[in-house]
Amino acid sequence: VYSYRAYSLNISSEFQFPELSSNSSSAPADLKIVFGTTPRELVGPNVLRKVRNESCPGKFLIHIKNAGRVYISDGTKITIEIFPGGDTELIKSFILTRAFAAAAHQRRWTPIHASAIEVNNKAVLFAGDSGAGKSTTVGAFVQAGYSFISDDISVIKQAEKNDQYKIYPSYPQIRLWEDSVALLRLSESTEKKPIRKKVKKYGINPTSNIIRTGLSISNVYILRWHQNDKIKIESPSKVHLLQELLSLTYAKNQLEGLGGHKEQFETLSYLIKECRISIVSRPLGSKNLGALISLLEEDFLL
Amino acid sequence: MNSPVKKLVWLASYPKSGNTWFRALLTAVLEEKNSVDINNLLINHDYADRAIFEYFTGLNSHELKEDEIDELRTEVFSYLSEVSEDVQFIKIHAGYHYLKNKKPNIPIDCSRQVLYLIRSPLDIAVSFAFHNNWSKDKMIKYLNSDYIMSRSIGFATPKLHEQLGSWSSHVSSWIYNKDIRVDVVRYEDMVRDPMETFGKALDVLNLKVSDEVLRNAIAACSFEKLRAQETKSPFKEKNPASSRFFREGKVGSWKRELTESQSARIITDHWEIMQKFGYFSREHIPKC
Repeated sequence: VYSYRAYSLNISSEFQFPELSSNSSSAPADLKIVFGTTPRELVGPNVLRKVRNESCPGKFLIHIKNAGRVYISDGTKITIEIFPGGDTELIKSFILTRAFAAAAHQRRWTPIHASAIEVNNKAVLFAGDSGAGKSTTVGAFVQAGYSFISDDISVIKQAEKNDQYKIYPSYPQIRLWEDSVALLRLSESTEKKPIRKKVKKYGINPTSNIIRTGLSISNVYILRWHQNDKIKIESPSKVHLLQELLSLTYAKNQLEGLGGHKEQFETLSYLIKECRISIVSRPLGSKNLGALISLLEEDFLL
Repeated sequence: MNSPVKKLVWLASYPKSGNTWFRALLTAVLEEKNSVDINNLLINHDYADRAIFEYFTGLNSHELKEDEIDELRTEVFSYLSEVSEDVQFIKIHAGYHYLKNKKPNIPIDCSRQVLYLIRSPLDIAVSFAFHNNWSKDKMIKYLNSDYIMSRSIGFATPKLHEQLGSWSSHVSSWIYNKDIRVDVVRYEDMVRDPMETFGKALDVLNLKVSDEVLRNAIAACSFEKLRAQETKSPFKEKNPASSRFFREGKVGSWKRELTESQSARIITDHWEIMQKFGYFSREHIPKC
């Protein structure tokens, strides 16, 4: 059994994850990852069924074709049933992101679709939908020497009730498409590992210092593409702010069945009150990356 | 076992064939409004929508292979049908084809019908080249290739891939399919007589609207109005490589924009289907 630390959890796992940081703590595991038999389906009046996945409070089950089934229960256990000849890379990729997100939702934490760096002992988040450029942005800041917190997914929670909300890292890897690896010239300095065979997306180990503890959040930048040729950093209207952040909840499809809207609302309301939130709109493509990094740096160092 | 109720209506077309205009008109008719917001169309389901795919499947689409997405995508739209109370209109640019699992690329069991929007490939070549910011020669080559649009190979794409095929095979794949009813609407007829053509299309879709609603919808969605709206607020479906989505909207701009050899190449490649839909007569077939 392997011991890891990720998403602020002590994890014991029968499945090996070279992407996760190993854990030497003797504390009992908060979450166990085991091989075993998963339910074929969830039963009960509150079960919400979607496309090959179903959920109800405390339980999430997904059937990944040609790979296996993954069952996440009570935020404390992930059971993996791999089909004969099943694609373990796909299972692994799912567990590292969406299975942990389900466990976070079950614990009433808020997983957010954001990458993060450390600036002056606080976290600066780059949030956005898939393909918005979060990983490339964080990769560029890491190349510039900023400490890395998290890529693509981060968890926001209170360590104790009435504490301030902090961001906790998922695991120390940046997931980049081939074009971004080339753009950031990362293949010259670090090894790139394909996430799956025939998918040209790679896991890259951050070259800068890695933050492994919770940090309070100073800025949230919501990344967007737009049709103009200029980069704009704007404050969103207060009316739309909550909606903007709600849309950035990671694996929000899981929330409907698992519940947890109240806690999510409280977390996001805290962010709105305590952090500086900005919308960053920029033209599609990579040619403005240098200008984007300069503008963001100027903004968060204000 | 009971068959699912058929709620899906597919608005199929090769790109730049009037699909957006048609969806704007449909929105104006259904909402009975005198104006439409191009960035907030009621008819907004898209076969290539990455967000809806991820929301229903619970998977990261960027980590899936194209054939995996293809198979799951039919299940996504079956699910959409299952959870919807009313008819759902879905834009699709992919051709009709069978997947690796030998099933069609749309869920036939819950699909009611297809409205196929067709436009002359001569004008498409001009419009699509502008949309992609490609040379017309490159576009003409793609019109006759096994074109897969929005492929995510080594970089992120906002939309999921769609297998178009060549223009001729695209048209044939839909109109000659044996699985589902297809009615064809010519873009050129929409431009020439929108009341008559759009009115007939609504009949085919079993949507009953008054002449006044129809007239208002056509006025609200005139090319000039949609283009003016895009000038004020960029259209989200515009390719960032081009300066605008609503370019000219006219029929026959190829006569001005294409060289003789470029139009001859298109005609040579696609004359059979072009002839079938009245885009030129036999005597125009180049001798080659």
